[in-house]
Amino acid sequence: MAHLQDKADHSSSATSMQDQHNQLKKIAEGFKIVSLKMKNAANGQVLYESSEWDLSENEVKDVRFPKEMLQCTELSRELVFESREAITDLQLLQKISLNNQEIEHLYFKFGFVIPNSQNSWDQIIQADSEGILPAEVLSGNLMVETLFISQDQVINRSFYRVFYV
Amino acid sequence: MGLLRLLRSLKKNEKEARILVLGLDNAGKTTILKALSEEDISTIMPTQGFNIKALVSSPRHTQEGFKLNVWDIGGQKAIRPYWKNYYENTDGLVYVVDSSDDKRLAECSEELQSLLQEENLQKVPLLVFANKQDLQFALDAEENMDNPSMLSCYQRGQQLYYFIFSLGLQEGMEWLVKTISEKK
Ligand SMILES: Nc1nc2c(ncn2[C@@H]2O[C@H](COP(=O)(O)OP(=O)(O)O)[C@@H](O)[C@H]2O)c(=O)[nH]1
Ligand SMILES: [Mg+2]
Repeated sequence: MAHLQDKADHSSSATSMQDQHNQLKKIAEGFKIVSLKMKNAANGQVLYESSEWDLSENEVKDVRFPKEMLQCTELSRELVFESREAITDLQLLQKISLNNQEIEHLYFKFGFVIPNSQNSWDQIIQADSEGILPAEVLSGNLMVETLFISQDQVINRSFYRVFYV
Repeated sequence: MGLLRLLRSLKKNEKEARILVLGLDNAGKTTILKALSEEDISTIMPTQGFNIKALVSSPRHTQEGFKLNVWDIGGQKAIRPYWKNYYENTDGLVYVVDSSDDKRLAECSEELQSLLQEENLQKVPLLVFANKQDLQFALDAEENMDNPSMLSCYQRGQQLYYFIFSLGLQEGMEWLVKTISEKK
């Protein structure tokens, strides 16, 4: 009897794992980064804008930021994304590395995402212009990896390599 | 809008604060959010989800990298049932009123009333923006307050609130941030 019970439990949890997997797949399919924008938040000037962000997995996009960006004291980085499905616990993890070495790590919890929504996340950083590495050192060697995560599973991953021109 | 000044209103030991901006659709919520970082406000589309401004101060400017997260959630009727997903851990509430839309003033105060009943929004400081004061037929703050349906919203015992005109965005936000940090 106990044995039978075990068996029943096992099969039901297997189904729910399958459901979860399917749900995550649906979420990933309906998820899309729409654009990336960089702005000088002190005066609103747009320094970089890309609306073509339909990247395939593991594709690295080269972006060219103007050098002046490094002098901004209030820098804004805006990501716009869409989701067809509701998501209960969306999180963002961003890793910035220089010459393959991680130099910055950023985490943000969105929580709930409305189905069929378009959402934006605009991070404004008050930067230190002192102590910033020169453009020549950073250019081409800076990589930004952005992960959107739900239930510990990556639903969207994108890479871009930064050039300062 | 002086972002730096906003962050300076915070107490030294503060780490992170969450402000929620709500109100009916078309009230001017997204416009307010964009004005926080001097963004172009001529091309704002109706919000189909949320917009977040995450202000991060660098350690050298203030204390250890302080964060202020301002959330603007779409206000259309179809989206309003989702608002409740965003109440948890809210430190401050901004409620935006379109003062020129007298036809929807009753709906506007009903929504505010029900927000004030919410468990997670009890004791949260509230800032009411009487927005669109530049329009000819806008009700001024006093008329807004005198409106019977709005008035009852402001008699809320312990709850802190502050009523301002759209012209005083900076002042209002500073009040809210300061009040949040004094409460914590
Ligand atoms: N005249 C006037 N129009 C405003 C003001 N604030 C916002 N608006 C306009 O009201 C409309 C709705 O604004 P929006 O920020 O999208 O409202 P939301 O739906 O609450 O996010 C837009 O056309 C804005 O340009 C204001 O203070 N005065
Ligand atoms: Mg909006």
